[in-house]
Amino acid sequence: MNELVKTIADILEEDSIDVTKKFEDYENWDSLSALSLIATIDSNYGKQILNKDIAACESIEAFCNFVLG
Amino acid sequence: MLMDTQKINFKFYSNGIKQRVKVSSSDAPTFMFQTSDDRFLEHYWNWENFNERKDIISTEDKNENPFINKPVWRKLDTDGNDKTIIREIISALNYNKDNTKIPNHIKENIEIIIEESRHIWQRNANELIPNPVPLPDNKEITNFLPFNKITKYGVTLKRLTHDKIELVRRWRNDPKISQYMEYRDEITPEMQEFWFKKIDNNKNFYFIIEVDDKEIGLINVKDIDYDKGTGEPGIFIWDDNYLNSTYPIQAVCCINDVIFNEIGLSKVSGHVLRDNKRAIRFNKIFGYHLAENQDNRHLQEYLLEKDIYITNRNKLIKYFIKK
Repeated sequence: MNELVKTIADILEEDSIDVTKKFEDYENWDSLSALSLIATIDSNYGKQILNKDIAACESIEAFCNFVLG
Repeated sequence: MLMDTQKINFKFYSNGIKQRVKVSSSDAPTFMFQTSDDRFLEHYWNWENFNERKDIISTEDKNENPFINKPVWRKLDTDGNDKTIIREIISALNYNKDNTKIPNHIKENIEIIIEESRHIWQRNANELIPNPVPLPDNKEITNFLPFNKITKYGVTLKRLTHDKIELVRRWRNDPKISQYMEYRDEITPEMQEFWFKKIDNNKNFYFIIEVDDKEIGLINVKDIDYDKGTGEPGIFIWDDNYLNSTYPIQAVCCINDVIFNEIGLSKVSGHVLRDNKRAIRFNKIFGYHLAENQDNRHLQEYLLEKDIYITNRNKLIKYFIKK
């Protein structure tokens, strides 16, 4: 989980993130970070996620659980 | 000017791919009607709509026609016998639902040659309907070129039609959109009407972006210069639920494919407000780069060449296609 959270923080260009928040709570969350997230999850975790998967998660923590689950 | 339609010969050639219709006679200019698929028939089925088109290229433009295959267009004489001729053609097509036989009384009077196109239309050959479904009466005819609807990379682009311009005006007037536009004042319905008349032609392609049948924004390529092979794309996403998804990227890939591969442009340019860091970052993933002498400008020009786009697109699209 920690590794994934750090990866997401890097994508959001933040030193640290609050996993109870949503992606859109962060200023740098945009189309490119969404793409970057999808690409990273695909290459690092071998899981293909879609826009709707991200949108369905109510928090970053929920997203992490979805990816790692 | 044709004075007697009885003098016109009629021939109908089909290679299995409806492409282009050419109408000619010994005593009249040649008429050519662009076609690629059954939407062609839609475009010209209704004479009145055909008559109203403002973007038909005149015969003077014969050698400068923007399309690679250079179909020739002429503005029809709506008061004269051109109208009769076109009605005959339309009538012929109307009778000929399977596009293989033409009624004799028409056949004797008009010459129609369907020619194969080598570029724009050929790509869609497999999509052509060999036995077109008869069009319903009073079918609304809205577009000139066959880019009415494009579905690719998980998004659908639908050519902007008049019935959608009020929706677009509402989007465009929303401060969340207008703040990023050079023109930020209120756009009135009259202004929108004027704007639509100005852009509803083959030098500007505006599309509503749809995802899962939901209209989320607008994407376009405008001010196409076919001689220089250039145009200016633009996009805005109105629906916040889709703003921070990859759909805007998918929509750009979709329209850029049309721009570079079908319309045939070699380079596009975009203008972005210098402070709009998101847009700049967004554009750069496709390969846009700042044009020369733009550093100190408020509205900066970015350029994208076809080869650079294709390279970048190929890296992006693998994430749009579900494995």
